[in-house]
Order: sequence, then C-alpha cells, then structure tokens
Amino acid sequence: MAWSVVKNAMKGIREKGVGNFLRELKEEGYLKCLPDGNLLQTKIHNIGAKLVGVDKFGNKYYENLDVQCGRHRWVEYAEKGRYNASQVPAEWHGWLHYITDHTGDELLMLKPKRYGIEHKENFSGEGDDYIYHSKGHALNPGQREWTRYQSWQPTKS
Amino acid sequence: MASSLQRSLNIARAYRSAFVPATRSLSSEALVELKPSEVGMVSGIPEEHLRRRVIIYSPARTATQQGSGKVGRWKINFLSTQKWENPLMGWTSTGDPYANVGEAGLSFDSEEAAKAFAEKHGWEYVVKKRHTPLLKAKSYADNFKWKGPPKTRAD
Amino acid sequence: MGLGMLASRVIRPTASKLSRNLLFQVRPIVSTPELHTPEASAAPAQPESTPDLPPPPRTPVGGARIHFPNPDDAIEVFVDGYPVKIPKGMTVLQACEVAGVDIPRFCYHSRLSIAGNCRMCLVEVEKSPKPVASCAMPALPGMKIKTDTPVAKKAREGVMEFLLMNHPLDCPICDQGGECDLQDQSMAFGSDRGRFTEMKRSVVDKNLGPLVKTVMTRCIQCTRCVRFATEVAGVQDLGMLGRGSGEEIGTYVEKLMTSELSGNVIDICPVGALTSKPFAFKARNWELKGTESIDVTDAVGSNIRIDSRGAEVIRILPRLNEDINEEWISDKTRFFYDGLKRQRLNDPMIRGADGRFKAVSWRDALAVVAEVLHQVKGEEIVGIAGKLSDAESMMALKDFLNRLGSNNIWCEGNGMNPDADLRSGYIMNSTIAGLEKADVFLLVGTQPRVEAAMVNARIRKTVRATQAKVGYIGPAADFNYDHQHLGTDPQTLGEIAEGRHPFCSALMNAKNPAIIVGASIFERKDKDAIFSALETISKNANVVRPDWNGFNVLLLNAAQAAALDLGLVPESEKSIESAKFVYLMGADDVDMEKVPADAFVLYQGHHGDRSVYRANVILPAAAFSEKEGTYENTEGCSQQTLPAVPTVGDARDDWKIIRALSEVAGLRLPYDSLGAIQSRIRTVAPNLLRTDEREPATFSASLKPNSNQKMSSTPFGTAIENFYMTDSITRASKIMAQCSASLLKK
Repeated sequence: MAWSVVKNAMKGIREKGVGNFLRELKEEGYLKCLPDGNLLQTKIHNIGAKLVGVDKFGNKYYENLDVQCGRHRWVEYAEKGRYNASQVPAEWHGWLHYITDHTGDELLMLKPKRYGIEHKENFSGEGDDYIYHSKGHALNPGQREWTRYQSWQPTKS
Repeated sequence: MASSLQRSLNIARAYRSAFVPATRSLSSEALVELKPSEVGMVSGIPEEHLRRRVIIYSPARTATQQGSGKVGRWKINFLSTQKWENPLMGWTSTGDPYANVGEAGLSFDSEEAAKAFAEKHGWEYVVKKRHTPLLKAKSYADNFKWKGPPKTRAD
Repeated sequence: MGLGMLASRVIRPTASKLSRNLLFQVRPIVSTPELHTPEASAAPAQPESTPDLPPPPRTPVGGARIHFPNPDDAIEVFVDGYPVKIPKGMTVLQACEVAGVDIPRFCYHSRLSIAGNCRMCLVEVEKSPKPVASCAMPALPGMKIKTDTPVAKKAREGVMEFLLMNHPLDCPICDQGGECDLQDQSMAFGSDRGRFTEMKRSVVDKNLGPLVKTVMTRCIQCTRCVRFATEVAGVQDLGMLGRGSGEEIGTYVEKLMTSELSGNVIDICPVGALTSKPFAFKARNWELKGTESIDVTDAVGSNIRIDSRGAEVIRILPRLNEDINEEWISDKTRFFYDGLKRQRLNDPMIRGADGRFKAVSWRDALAVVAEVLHQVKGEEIVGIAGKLSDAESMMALKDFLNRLGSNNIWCEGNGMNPDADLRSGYIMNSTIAGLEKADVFLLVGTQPRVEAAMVNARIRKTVRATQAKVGYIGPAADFNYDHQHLGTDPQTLGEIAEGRHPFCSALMNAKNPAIIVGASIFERKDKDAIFSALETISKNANVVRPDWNGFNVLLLNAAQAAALDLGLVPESEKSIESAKFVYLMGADDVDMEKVPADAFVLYQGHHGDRSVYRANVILPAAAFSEKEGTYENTEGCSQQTLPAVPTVGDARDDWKIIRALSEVAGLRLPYDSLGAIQSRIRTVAPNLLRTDEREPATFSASLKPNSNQKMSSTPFGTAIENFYMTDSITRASKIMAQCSASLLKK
C-alpha cells in the first residue's frame, strides 16, 4: 500500500512536473497534514476509497465498504484550514450520516427545488460580523424600538 | 440591615403567635387561628407588598360568549402596572411579584373567601359590586304582536 | 397494564369524591352523562338512594336576578327534576337558565327578540313527541324539562352537524378562535368526522365599514346581527338574502353600516363572521388580561373591560351593567383605544425662549411652575379641568388653587355659570334604566344619538316597546326612532311652557313624562330662562312627583357631574380674560384665543391635542386606562376606573402631579395617597365614594329661584359635531379618524 502511494506520487510528478505536483500537493492540503492529524487520517483513509461525489462547495465524499461498518462514509472538506460539520450541505447530510443511500447528487436530481435556500455554514465564533444581536440590541443594524406608543412630537410651536 | 432585623422580628412574632395559641381563644374548628396579615409575614413576600391595595371583584360574563362557567368566581386585582417592554427582546417585564397572580392565580368561590384571603395577607381591599343580569319574561309571540298603526317613515 | 389498573383504582375514590362535590357547581354544556365519570351518570339515581338529602339549591346562570312583574303569576316547572319557580310567560330556555342550566344556543340572545332558527337549544319535554326548541317555547306550569337526556343530546348533535356542514375549518386563522360559541359547542356536540362530501359553500364578504370585518363564509345564519341592527341600533342596514344554501346576511345594496352601535354585532356574533377590523390578527383572547373599568368618552360611564397585553391596550369590550349600558357599548367606546397609543405626552416639557419645547426632568418643570406661581396674584390664576378628569384630581386641583388664593376653577363643558347647588339640576333624575318607564319624552337641545349613544339606545328601546312619543326641540338631527320635531329654538319651549303647543296635550296626558335637557344649554346665555321654562313645563305636566322624577339633564363629558358635585364653579365669568396663570388639567376644548398673550399656561394631560400648543409647560399625566379614578356619570352613579396598563414614559397620575407641585410651591396638600384624597372628597361630596351605587338627588329642581331672564331666539346648537372625535384621546385615534371620514360623510 505504501508502495502504491509512492508509485502514484512518482506518476504524478512524471505527468505534471515537479512544480505543478507540489502546487497540487499544497492545494489538496497535504502540507497541512503534518500539523493536523485529522486531515492526515482522512488522507490515509482516502487511499483505496471510492470517491462518491463532490458537492458544490468542493467537499469530497468518500466511501470504503471494506472498513468497519458505520465508519465507511466520510467527507474531506474543501476547506482545509477551518473545516466544520456545518459545511456539509443538506443534500449530502443524509448520505453522510447513513440516513439514506442516495448521494447528494442523486437527491438534487430527485427533488424539485422549491423551498430550499442556499446552504450556509455556521459562522459562530468567526468574528463580530457573524454574532447575532437581538432585535432591540444596539448593535443590531435594524435596532427595534419596543415602546408601543407614539409620543407627541413638539414640531409645531 | 435594620429592616431585615425588623423583618425577622416580625417573623418571629408571627411564629410565636402562631405556635402559642394559649393567649387567644381558639375557635372550635381551626387548630391555629390566624391574625390578619400573619400569613403575609411568614410567607416570604417582600415587605413592601404586605400592605397593598387590592380590588376584589367578580369578573363579568364575557359579552362575546354564551358560556357562564367562570361567572360568579371572585378574583383579586392587584392593580399591578409596573410593566415595561424589555428593551432587548421586547417582552413584557414586570417589577411586581403579584403581576401575574391576580387574574390567573387566585380565584375564590365567594366574596367572603376573597376578603378573608386578603385580610390574611394584610392587604387593604375594596370590593366591587357584582353586576348580575336581569331575566325578564320574553316570548316568541312578541314577534307577531300588533305594534300600533303602520309608521309613515320613509326609511 | 397492571400498573395502570392499580393507578386507576387508586385515583377512583378521590375522583368520585371530587365529582360529587363539583357536580352541582360545575355544570358543563355537555349533556352526556355517559361521557362523565360513572358517578355522574349515577347522579340522577342518587336522590332515590338518599331520600333524606334535599337537592341543593340551584343558582341561576350568571347569578341572574329574576324579574317577577306580578308575584302571583309565578309558575313551577321542573328542570332535570328540580322544581323552579318562574314568572309566567318565560320560555323554556329561560326556565332552564333560572335552574342554572345553560342551554346551548346560537340565535337566541337575551337582549334581542326570539328568532328560533338555529335549533341548537333543543331539549326534551315530557309528553312531547319531539324535542322542543326551548328558546321559542313558553314554559307551562308543571312542565318537565329534561336537558341532558340522550334525546336532547342526539338532537343537538344533529343540529351541530348541519351547522358545521358549511362552516369552514379555519379556526386557526379566525379571530373568534378561542372565544367562539360554535367552537365551544362543537366540543360538546360536534362529531369527530363529517359525513358531508360535497363542496362547502362560500359567500362573498361584505364591506361594513372600518369597524366590522366580515368573513361571511363563516356565518351560520343565526340572524342575531340582523335583529340587533333593526331592534337596538335602529338601522335597517342588515338583512337576510336568499333561501336555502344561498342564504346570506348582507346589506341589500353596497352600503356601510352607519350606526353608532355597530361594534356590538361583533360581540353578539356567535361565530367569526363578524369580527373587529382594528383587532384583526392582533392578539388571541387568551393572551389578554381583562381589567374591569369605566368608559370616559361620554357621560354615560359605560362599563367596559379593557383587554391588555403587556403594556398595551388591545381592545375594549362591554361589561354587563343593567342600569347603565346593559351589555352594549358605542363604537366610540369600543374602538377609540388606539388613541391611547398615539400622541402621548411622556416627558415634562418647558417652552424655551425660542418657542421650542424641551424635555426636562420633573424637578425642573415643577420648579419653573412654582416660580411663576409665586409671581402671580391669587385671583389671576385660573384652573380648568378637562373632560376626562377624575374626581380625585379635580379635588386636588381645587384644593391647590384655593390655597393659592384663586377660586376660578371649573370643568369644561359646564359653562361659566353652572348651577352646582342643586344636584337634581344637572343629573338624570329618572336614571338611565328608569327611562324605560317613561311614555313621553321631550328632548330639549340634545341629540342623544351622538351625545350619549347608550342613553339613546334606552330611549329607542322604550319607544319600540311602548310606542312612547318623543318630542324634540333643537336643530334638525338624525334620530333612529320616530320623533316629532317641534322646533329649533327656545321659543317652542316657551310655547310648551305656556300650553300653546300641540305637544302639550301629549305631555299632560303622559303617565311618566321625561324631559331630557342637553348639557350644551349650560353654555348659553339664557340658560336660567330655559331652565325656568322647563320647570314650568315639569310643573304643568307633573314631571316631578314623589314616585317619578322625569327631569333629566344629559351631560356630555365624564368629568362634568363630579366637577359640579365637587363645586368646581368659577367665581367670576370673565376670569380667563384677565388670567396670568392658566392651569389646564387636560382641558383641550378651551378657547385659547381668550387667554391673554402674556399668560403662563400650564398644560397637564396625556395627549398632545389642542391646548398643548399654547402651553408654556407641559406635565405628562396618566390616561384613564392607566389610573384609578372616580367618575360620576350623567345619572349620578359614581364608578371607578382601574389601571389596566402602565403609564407611558415619565407620566404620573394627575393628583400626584398636583400634590408634588403643591409641595414645590410651598403649599403642601395634606394628602399623599388615593385613600387620603378620597377622605377629603368625603367631606365635600360623599356620594362620589359610593361607587357603583347611584345616589339620587335629595332636593328636586323646583327649589331653584326663579329668574327673570328672557329666552333668546337663538336656535339650539349641536353639542357634538363629530360623534367619533370628541376628546383628546378620540381625536388622536386613527380608527376614529377613519370612522368620521367614511361614516359621517353625507
């Protein structure tokens, strides 16, 4: 197995040249594997697994039926740095969590698009821009005045 | 500090009077007889609420409905107007522990029961007169009664 | 399984005890004994098992009093085996009501005529082959009425199935949801499934104006609204069109409902066909907190329930008071509440040197006023109480200004020379309910339809019931009952007083003649002459007798009667022209042109309405829905408002402001609680403290000194031009503005 990895790498270098190969290596996040064990593990898992699909964000969904059942589907996030589970769009969620065997691409084809809004990942903790302030909060841009009466304004005087 | 001291004194006094009934004539059915406002003192209600003005009233039948199930009960209105809109969420806040007690929480079978309850808590009360409907004989035949000579109004 | 059995066995003894105690108090609409606990179904058998136990006395539904016109005519009927005594002529439904059994009904309404078309009130009567519609069937002596038998239940279930056949299932979006009679009764008699497979009918909604929203598909054709419009409101606007499933309620032509009582059809509608337009989709009734209060928009003092959610008044509903408003209220009372949320004064304000208002703290505002008060002489101070002032604040105002050395305090609407000495000279002596006994009315300078819609409804009720004659002196006006327009000016009154007028004979022959004088006469110069002419008439026609006092003054404002009781009478008639300090306590209808330009005007009130533009200092006060206050209505019955919502902003109760100002000015008033101020009132006008009781005037008006004033020939004016906008709250209301725009246009 290790041998096939090296063979593949050699093949890649031969086809693309060293520069291109290194750039690809970086884009695919292999360099981040060193500090990030999760990513490294995912990459190791990917070897020999089947790429089931890629969603519109670039997340890659893999399946390997040889491994232990319940661990046989996983995702490699497109975002290699700050990835989190909310980056998986709704159509792939079911497949990824063994709710359905339909892949996200199949589901998108099956279901007429009627109500869905664009999937948005959860930005909690991603800075002040993403903090929700209550309707009456001073930092809410549409800050609401809750007084339920209208006071007399001394305009005419 | 002083007020809390006084309060604990009050409580102590209330307890003493509650547990030493020998000084007072016992009514036949009640084991412990209560003096007015004693219950309020031992119930942990803030002291400023022990002397409140309340209105004892019997809610009128809803004019929009036939049902009379809740008519004839007696309620206590605490005249609670310490309410405001919470500036953050817009919910109604209140500074009055009795704000939601009167209408929802207290309901009495009779005026006397409500009065006794108010006295027990030391509230100064005013009883509102209960208005009752007047049943007058009606008849279907009235629809066909002769109502005088025909009117000449154009309307 | 075993646990459940055990639990039920444990619960049962307590349940049986409970149900036995509650059985006679809680009387559910459901009349299925088998649906109750097994003990309840055994209840009819109980008297046999314990024969020595007498049946507990039944109380009539809602604690109703029973009117026996003739005690000898009482008959006895049996309702569910209980004997009840009822006056002859009552219907079976009323007999059941006396026995404490609430019969389900849709078309029957206790204040309308009997239609008998909904058939929901079917009961079983012994020896009757079929179930009987109890609302239309007169009770006969010895009748054995059974209200909770399977026959009655089955009959009602059948009726309910037919009613629900064409009723939409839109309770979740219906404003009546939660307070709907059909909803309630379908809980008791409705089926869990429908057998109707065709299409439900649908009906085009009607436009009845800015107040009543119609969803006519929900209508079940009970015709309560039609009967209300023709019988109580006196407008022939609504009617029934078509037959069978094409039957619908409507205005025959495209037309708005132009009645001042139209809002009551919302209440009487048992379903959601007629609902309140301003209230539509605003709240559910179970979210609301009801506060039983008094209406202050006119002098009738209708009993109302202010429904509020949080700090907001959401709607106003009538409250039963047989003596005043029965169970109706006028549209102004019902819909002016949005005025309480607009144009509110919430901060004390001072007009700066540049003529602009600036919000300041209470301390600063009171200091400024006290400073000015020290600079003016006592007789240069004038105090005017507004239309909506309560007795407590008027008392405080009078005490305060008296301490400052001024005795020029009056209430607007009472005129500059009111006669406050004789109470019978300014209240309705025959009472509002007592008007039903009158057989001839003489209306002098008053249009009760706009001045006091509830009094007008009483007069109309009397006219309808007894064909009472109504004579009217005043400008041409809209009446909803037959009346004779006798004239427009006081000369006609003189003719009647001298016995030269044809209406005299009607007045002389009347058993209980009633004279109703409008309060707008108080403002006339020849007021005394008019009153002495009226006195002559009442002497000639025997209007004031020991058993009947038919001399009535119909006041315009809620504050008037209490102000006169408290003696708010100006010392000199010209005081306002020479005033240096004008204290306006909510007075918005004062002619501000008369106030000298250099006078300091203090406006204390809750709405920025009219006078506020002339004010130098504004002190925000609480509106009637936010304070406890005593009001005396036109018949002399004092009633109290209760606070339903908190005051807005920094506003305070009127009397508290005056009390605080008196302290800042160094003339501290001796009361600092409502109870203390009421004991001060007790020394002046003790009748004001007997709330909910009417205090009749002790002396009749005939003690009045005769005046030798001449009646002028100026015709009587209209006191109220716009029924919907009469005071600062109603003028601030958007709904009232819509009403006057769409309903008053000719």
